[in-house]
Amino acid sequence: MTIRRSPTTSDQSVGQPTAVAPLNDPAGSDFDTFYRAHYRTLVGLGIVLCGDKGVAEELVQEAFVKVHDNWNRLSSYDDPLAWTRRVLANSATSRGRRRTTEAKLLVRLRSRPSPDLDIPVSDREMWDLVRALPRRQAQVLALRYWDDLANEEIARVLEIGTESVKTHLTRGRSTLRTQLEGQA
Amino acid sequence: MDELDRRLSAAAESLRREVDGIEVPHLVDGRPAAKQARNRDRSAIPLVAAAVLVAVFAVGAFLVARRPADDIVLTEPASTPPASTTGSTVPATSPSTSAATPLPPADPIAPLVSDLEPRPLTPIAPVARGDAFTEPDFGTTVTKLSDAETGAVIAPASSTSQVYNADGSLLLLYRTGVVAPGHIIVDPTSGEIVDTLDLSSATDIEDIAWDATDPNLLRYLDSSLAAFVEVEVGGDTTVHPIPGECDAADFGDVAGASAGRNSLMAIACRTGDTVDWIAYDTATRTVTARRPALTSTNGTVDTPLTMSSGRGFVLVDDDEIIVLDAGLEPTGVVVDVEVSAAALALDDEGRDVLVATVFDDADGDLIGTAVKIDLDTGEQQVITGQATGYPYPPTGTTIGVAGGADSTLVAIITSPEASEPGTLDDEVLVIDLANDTTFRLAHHRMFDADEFGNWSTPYVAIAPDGSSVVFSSNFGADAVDTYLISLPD
Repeated sequence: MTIRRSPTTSDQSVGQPTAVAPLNDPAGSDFDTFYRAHYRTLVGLGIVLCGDKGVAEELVQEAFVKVHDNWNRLSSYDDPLAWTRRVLANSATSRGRRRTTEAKLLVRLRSRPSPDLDIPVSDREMWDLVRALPRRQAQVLALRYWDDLANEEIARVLEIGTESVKTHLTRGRSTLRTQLEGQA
Repeated sequence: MDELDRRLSAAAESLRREVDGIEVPHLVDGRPAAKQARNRDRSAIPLVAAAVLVAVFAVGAFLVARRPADDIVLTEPASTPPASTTGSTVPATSPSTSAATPLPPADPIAPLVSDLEPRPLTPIAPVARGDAFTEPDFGTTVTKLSDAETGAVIAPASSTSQVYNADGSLLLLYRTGVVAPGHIIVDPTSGEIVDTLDLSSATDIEDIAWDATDPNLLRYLDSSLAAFVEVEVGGDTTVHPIPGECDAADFGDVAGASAGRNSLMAIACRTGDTVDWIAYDTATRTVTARRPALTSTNGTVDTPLTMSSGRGFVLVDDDEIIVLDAGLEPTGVVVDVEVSAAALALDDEGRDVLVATVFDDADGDLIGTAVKIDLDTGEQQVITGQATGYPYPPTGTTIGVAGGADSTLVAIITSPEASEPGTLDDEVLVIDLANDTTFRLAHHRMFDADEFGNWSTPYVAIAPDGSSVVFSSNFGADAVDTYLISLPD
C-alpha cells in the first residue's frame, strides 16, 4: 500500500534509450534511408499485431511521422528502430488508437474495404491466435517471430525486463500450443 | 523446432512475401505523407457525406448510453477533436482532423451521470491546451490544461497529493522531460504556468502540501534539516526547524491515502534508534503532541494522516485502520479492513470519515470502490459496490485528496484498461457524501502508457469547494497531461 516513488530515476529515463553519438545530417537523407529500410518490415509487424493491412500501413505512417518530428532526438539513439517499433507495437495493440485509425481509414477509403492479405488461411489463423493473446504476450511473440529479435532486444523495444520477456514468451507459447493441440 | 515454431515461422515467411510487394509511399518534402494525404482526401469528401457524419455524431453523442460499441469505429467524429469553446478547434498533434465536423459544444450545466449503465468508450483525438469539449460518454465539460512535450508528463504527482491550493485558484503539478523537470504552479482557468519551483529537497515529489488558508503558500518537509520549508509562490522560501529533539524527520511509509486539509500534520521524528510521532501545527509552527511511534506488523513506521476536521489522526495500516486523537493516542476505534486507496473527508453532518476502496473482506459484504468508514464508531457502509448494484471494484483505483471543510466530495479514478470497459472501468468518479451518490464524470482515456512508468497510473484531485476535478491522461498519445472537469453547482 505504500506508494513511494523515486523522484529522479524513472522520471528522467522515460522513453529514452541509451544515447550515443548523433548520426550525420539527422533531418535529411538519414531519415529517408531509415524510412525506406524499415517501412515494409514495420508494416509486417503492424499486420501481425492489428490484423489489417490498411490499418497497419496507416499506423506505420503515423509512427514515421512521429519519428520524423523527433528525428533530431531519435537519431542520437543507438537504435531508433527500437523506438519506432515500440510506438508501432503500442499503437497496433491499443484499442483506442486502433479504433481511431480504423475510423480515419474508413473515411479516407470512403467505405471501401481495406486491402486483403494474400497469405494462406492457415498462416492468417496463426497470426489471429497470436493477436488473441494478452497484449504484452502478443507484442513479445510478434517481435520474436516476425522481427527475429532476441529477448534482450525485445526487452529494449518494449522497455520491460528480460525476465518479463521470458515470462510473456513462455505463457504466450504455452497458450498457442494448447490451442494448436485443440485444433488437431 | 516444434510444431508451434514451425507454424509461426511459416506464417512469418508468407507474410514476408506479402509485405515485400508493398510499395513504400514517397516522402513529401522529406516527410511521411500520411497526414497530408489524409487532408487532401478529407477535403474531397462530399459535403452531403460530411453532413451525414456530423448528424450521426450529434445524435450519437446524446444517445451514448444506448450506443453499441462498434459504432465508435465507424463514425469519423469519434476520431475528431472536440469543438472548442475558446474558438480554436485545431488539435496539438492531429492537424488532419481539423475538418469541419463540429461536435456538441461544451455544456457546463449538464446534469451529472449517476446511473449504472455501461458506457462504451468513444475515442477522442488529442486536443490542444486550453480547448474545452464535451466528454462524449458522460457529457461533462473537460478542458486540457497542459501541453507536455513528447514522452513527458505534466500531471498531479499522485492522487494523494494536494493539487489545489486553499482557494482553488492554483494547481501544483509535476513536470518531467528535458525542459526544467520539477514542480510547476498552474492557473486552472487558463492552464498558464504561473511559477516553477525547486522542491527537490522534499521527502518525495508528492509530499508537498498547500497551506490550509494561505493560497500562495506551500510547505514540505526537509528530512535532513528536520525542518519544514515554506515556499511562497513567486516569493520567498523560509526554513522552520521542528521544535524539540529530532535528528531527521519524514512521513514514514506514506499510506496510499489522502489526508484531510487543515493545519495539523503528523510526522515521524527520528532520534538515534527511536522514532516518535509528532503532531505539528503549521499555523503556529508548534509541536502539539509527541509520542513513540506505533510500528506496523512488518516493522515499518507508518505515519498517521490528519482527519479533515483536525480533531485527530488516522493510521492506515496494511490490514487495519487505527483512529488516534489529537494527542496521537489511540481512541480505541480499530477497523479491521484492508484498504487499497483511501481519502479522509467529512460527511454532511461534519463527521470524519475515511472513504476507501476495499477489494477483500472476510464476510464479503463490505467490498467496494467506495466504502465509507465512520471514524467515531468504526461503522462501515458500501457506497459504490456490489451491495449497491455496482460491479466489483476495478483494479488500479486511486482516490483523490478530499475537498475543503465545506465539501462533501471525494474524487476517485479507476484504471483497469479493460478491452471493453464496463461500468466504473477507466472512469473518473466523484462521491458525494451528503447523499452517498456516485457520479460518473468521464473516461480518463489513459491508454497504453507503459512507457511512462509510474505516470501510467491516472491520478485525480478535487477542488476544495468541489467545483472541479483534475486528472491525468495521455489520451492515447505520447504525453501525459492534466485535464480539468468542471462540475455544476
